[in-house]
Formats: sequence, structure tokens, C-alpha cells
Amino acid sequence: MNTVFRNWCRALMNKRRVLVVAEMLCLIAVASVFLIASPLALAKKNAAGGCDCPPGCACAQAACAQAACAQAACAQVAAQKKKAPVPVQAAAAQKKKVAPAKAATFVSILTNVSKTSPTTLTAQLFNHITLATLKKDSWAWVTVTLNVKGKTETFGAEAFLNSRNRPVVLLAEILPTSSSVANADPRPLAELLKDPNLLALIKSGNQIPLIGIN
Amino acid sequence: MRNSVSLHKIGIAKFTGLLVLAALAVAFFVAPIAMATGGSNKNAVALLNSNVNIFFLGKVAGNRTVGTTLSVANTKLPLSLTPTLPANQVLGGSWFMCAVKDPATVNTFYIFTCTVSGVNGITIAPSDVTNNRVAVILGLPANTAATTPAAMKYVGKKGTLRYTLTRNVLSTPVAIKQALNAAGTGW
Repeated sequence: MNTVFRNWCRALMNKRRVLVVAEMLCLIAVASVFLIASPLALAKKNAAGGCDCPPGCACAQAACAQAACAQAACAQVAAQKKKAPVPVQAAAAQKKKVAPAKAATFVSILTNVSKTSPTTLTAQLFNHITLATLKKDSWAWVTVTLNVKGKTETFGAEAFLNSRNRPVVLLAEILPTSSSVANADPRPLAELLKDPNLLALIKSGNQIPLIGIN
Repeated sequence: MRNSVSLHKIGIAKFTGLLVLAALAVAFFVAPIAMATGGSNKNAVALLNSNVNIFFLGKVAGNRTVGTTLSVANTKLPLSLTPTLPANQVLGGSWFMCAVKDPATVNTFYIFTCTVSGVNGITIAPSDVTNNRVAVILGLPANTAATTPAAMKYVGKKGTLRYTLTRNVLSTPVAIKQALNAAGTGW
């Protein structure tokens, strides 16, 4: 190998110089790419729709939800870029404000849906679901409860397993909460539908871990 | 005495170096990219066959007239159905009722709960509605007992939603309404 290197050095000094210099440049280019752009990070970023995932937002999930997650992340990043530097306490408060919901508690799965009039429906509720059911009946409609500013709120949602086979929901509709539920929000549905906090939770399109299933 | 190496040996050494570089390229570029893309598509929503047509029946939401009473589990949940919906109220993730036409028969429909989605992601742009680029992910059928095993395989799959758009308002195509009536679906 020593002699190979010696010959290589000698070649550097003679007429094959151009070839060797080209080879060196090529090696430097490859090394630069390795150093500057981490291909793994790049691949993950692309898979997440072109931007990084915020904490608590699992981007590598079902394709459609994934894009929503990526969009939410993009919006978050863009918003953060626009904002001027703020004091630490204010920043912490802002962070607290946009933090995604920690977990949604399963209440029931909607099974048979029947039409009772041209504008009304009735859905049969069943209060038991397993991971196996969820795997088979992905994107089933469920009702979940969520703690929003100290009150228990009920939402209609779609349940499915994410890429790590963990149950998650995507909030879809605001529903009234049964008075039998602890700390229930007593407001009528018409009023709940105007609540900006509840609407923001639905519009964010975030996937929320689903708990309370067997 | 001067040690010299033949050009043949230099060629072998260079070729070996090239192989090492190629192996590095695979290890650093191809494998991670395959891992990342493969991982993200693991639970991607499967697409419905293009010969299976899905039609809009209406938007489902909580029933305002019911007020604060929500039935407890194992009973019934009252909901509202909006058969005509302004285009700007089509939101990704919301609940629709959909009629799926059985491609194997002349006039058989299965009613499914479905989730509104964009063609590529869950979000919908206003132009998607006017350009007929609204997709839905099928949930459970409205009546599981009346759904064939073949139709049950549609659960969790995504397809393009078909609807009539008149003055920016979505509704069920007239021909489908008539066919649903003729089939006695009750929808």
C-alpha cells in the first residue's frame, strides 16, 4: 500500500496530474456533502412534508394526517420566524398556549348510523374498543373527552393506529358533554360551536394520543 | 533499488477504492432515505380501486337542538345531517356520510361514515372543492349487518368524493339520489 501511495504521489507530479486532481476534488465533494447535509435528516424532513415536526406531533403517520401534521409544523415554524424576540416568561406562556393536547380519553365508538329524518341521524354508541378493533376498523368514528382549560369537553373524532401502532385520534366535531362526566362543560352545543379554543383544536389537525382503550 | 508497482496493481487498488466509496454512498445515502420513506409509508392510507365510486350524502355534526344532553355509552347519539353544504365549509377531518356504489352490481349502494381529506393530505384548499379534488377516508358502514364482506374491505381506504357543485354548494348528484331511492336505501 505504501508503494501504491508513492506511485500515486509520483503520478501527481507527472502527466497524469489532471486525473489525480480530479479524483481528489471528487473525494472532497463527497466528503463535503456528508458534512454539510445529513442525508438521514433530509430524508426525514422530506417524509414530513418538507419541514420538521414539532414536539408531540408524530409526522411519520398515515399519509393524509402526516401532511396535516407537517402543515401544522410549517405554520408553527413560520409563526415563530415572524415573531420578534420575546422575554423568556412571555415565550414560555406562548409555548403553553400552542401546546398540543396531551391525550384524548376514549368514550365510545359509533357503530350503526341511521337516518331518522332528512336532517337528523342517530348513531349507536358502544363503549368498548380494543387495539385489534382499531387495527381492523381504522378511521372509525369515536367520541372522546379532552381536558380544555380545566373543563371536560367531548369531541367526535376519527381513531386509527399511527406508524408506531399507537392509537391516535383526529378531532372532527364538537359535541355536548354529558352532565354525568366529571367537570363537564355545561354550555349548550350552539355556544360550544362558537368557542375559539375548541374550534382551534379541530382546525389544527393534530393527532392526539388516544387513551382509555383496552 | 527502487520499488515500483505495476499499473495493473494501481488499477486494482483504485477499483477497490471505488467499491469502498460506492459502499459508503449506499450506507450514507440510499439506506437512510429508504428507511425514512419506508417508515413513513408503513401505515399510509390505502387507496380504493378507481372503479369504486363514492358519493356525498351530507355533513354530519352534533345536533344543536338536543342541547347539553349527550347519551351515555351504549345508548344513542343524536346527530345532524346537512345534505347541502357551502364549499367553504368543507374542512379536512370533518364527518361526512357517503354512499359507495358497488361496482359489481347495477344498483347496490353501501352507506359509509367517512372522513374528509385532501387528495394528498388531510387539509383542503378552497380550490380543491371547485376542482373536484376532495377525497374521503371510509370509516365503518352505517349498517354493518347489511354490508357484504367485499364492501367491508373498503373500511379505512381513501377515494375521491363525487358531488354536484351548484353555486358553490355541494349536494348529492340527482341521478344518485334517484338511484338511492330506487334501491330503497332510505338515504
